[in-house]
Amino acid sequence: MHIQDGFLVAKWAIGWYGAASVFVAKGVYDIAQRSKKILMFKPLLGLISAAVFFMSLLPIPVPILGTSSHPAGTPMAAILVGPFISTILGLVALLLQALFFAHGGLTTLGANVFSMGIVGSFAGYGIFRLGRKIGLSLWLAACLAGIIGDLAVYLTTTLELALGKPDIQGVSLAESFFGFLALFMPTQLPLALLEGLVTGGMVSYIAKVRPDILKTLGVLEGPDLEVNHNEG
Amino acid sequence: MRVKKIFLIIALAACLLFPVTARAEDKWQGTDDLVDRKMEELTGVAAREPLIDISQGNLGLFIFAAGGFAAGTLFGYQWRRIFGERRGEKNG
Repeated sequence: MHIQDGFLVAKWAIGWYGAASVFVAKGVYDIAQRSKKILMFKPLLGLISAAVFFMSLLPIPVPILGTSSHPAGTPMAAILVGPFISTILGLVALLLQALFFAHGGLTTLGANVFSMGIVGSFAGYGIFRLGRKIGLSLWLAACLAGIIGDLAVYLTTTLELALGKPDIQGVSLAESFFGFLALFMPTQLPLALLEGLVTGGMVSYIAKVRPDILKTLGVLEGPDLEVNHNEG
Repeated sequence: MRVKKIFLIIALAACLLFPVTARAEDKWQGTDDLVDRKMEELTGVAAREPLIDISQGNLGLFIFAAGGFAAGTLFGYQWRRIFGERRGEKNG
């Protein structure tokens, strides 16, 4: 979701910028550090960056409902390159979309980075790590990360919108929150499932074709690669 | 693995083919647009025009075509570099 210019009062617009800037600074530092250590990190970052831009702009039609929406892409990116670096990829995608496609705005960039970049990344990454810890397969852990990461993005956006214009025409925060949530969720639920399938599929594909990349990135641990090509 | 692939193909096909059965009057509107409209209804604030307007004439088509070509070339090159060769294998 891209919040448009003018939809947040100044204090919230600035607040979200401030909150996002901490994560962005750490992301820039991480990119510099990891690029020095891992030779193929920059090409990989380019690929994932393009994927995040594409996924977060692509309007996917939802059957029956007749509406469309887009996935986030940041849960997948966070699994592969870490949540702080994924935040930077979200920032780049959102900035280009705000400048060229009227998706989001510059005053609301901080809020959009916070929801899609930070919450999407950390929710996805956290679920993936938790899933692996309790013994879920690589595909299932990544799939759940995609689903929950996607929904977390839209819940955060809903909260940002509800907070952004307090006490509009006597509408309470709760009414506003559930009003926006009712607009998002019917379309977003099936798309979250799709994002889960794509995230699980992508991570499993890399594990199958180049497991060494996942080991280098710290996605797979231990001397023995735990990839089961028949899992499913 | 096979079941997973079939499931994925069916899910993608459903997204592409089933839209013809959609019931909404104003078809394929994005949720972003629905939210923009709701916000305008509540606050009177309308979504602003993009800073760089690419909707005039064929400008949008040009940018999509040029951008798609450039991105596709770079994406394909990097994809081949990373995934084109399995570890330890070399291309002739």
